[in-house]
Amino acid sequence: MSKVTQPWRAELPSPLEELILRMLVEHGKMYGLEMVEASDGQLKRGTIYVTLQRMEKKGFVKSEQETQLAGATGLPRRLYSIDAPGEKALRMSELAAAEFGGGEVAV
Amino acid sequence: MLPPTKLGLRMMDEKRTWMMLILCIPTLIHVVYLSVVLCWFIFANGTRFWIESAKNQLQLHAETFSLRQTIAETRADIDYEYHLALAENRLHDARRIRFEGRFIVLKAVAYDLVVTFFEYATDNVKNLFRLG
Repeated sequence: MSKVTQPWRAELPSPLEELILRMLVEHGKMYGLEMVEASDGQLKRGTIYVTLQRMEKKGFVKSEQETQLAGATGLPRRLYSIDAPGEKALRMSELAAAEFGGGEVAV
Repeated sequence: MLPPTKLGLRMMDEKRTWMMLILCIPTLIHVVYLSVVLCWFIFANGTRFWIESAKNQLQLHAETFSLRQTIAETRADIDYEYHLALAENRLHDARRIRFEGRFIVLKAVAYDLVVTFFEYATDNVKNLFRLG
C-alpha cells in the first residue's frame, strides 16, 4: 500500500495554536496569563502553559526568561514570541482557510 | 458366579458416580487454581510492567523539563499578577489571584501529566502497530 504524504498537514497549527500565533503577531512578546486574558475565554489558565510548551517544541514560538531589574519583586516570567516556523504555519493556515473557505488573504 | 442383581448394578453405578466426583473435584480445584495463578501472573506482571513504564516516563518528564517548567512558569505569572495588583492597590484582586493561583498551578500540573500520559500511550500504540 502506498503511503500518502501530506507535508502541509503536519505544519498547520490547531485552532488554539493559531489563536496564540495571531495574538503573538499582534502584541509581540506575551506571557501565559496575559494571553488567557486577551483571548476572551478561548484559552484556559490550566492548559495554556502545556500548549505553549508543545508549540515551542514544534518551533512555532520561542521563549525567554524575563530579565528582572534590581530590586524587582516576584519570580521572573517566561515571555513568548512568534518564531519563523510559526509565522510560516500561520501563513499556511490563512492560505488553507482562504482556499477552502473562500476568504481573502491579507498580503 | 451369580449374575449381578439390579440393585447391585445400581449400587455399582452410584459408587462409580461418587468415585468420579471424588476424583473430579480435586482436578477441578487444580484447574481453577492454576487458571487463577496463570491469570494473576499474566495480568499482575502486565499491569506492573505498564505501571512501571508509566512511572518511569512521568519521572523522566518531571526530572527533565516540562513539569518543572510548567510549575515555574505558572507560579511566575501568578506572582507577577499578584504583585501588580498589590502595586495598583487592588487588594481584593490580589487576594483573589493568590487564592486562585494554587488551583491554577494544580490544574496546569494535572493537565500536563494527562497530556504527557496520552502522548506516551499514543507513542506506545504507534510502536505496537509498527512492530506488528
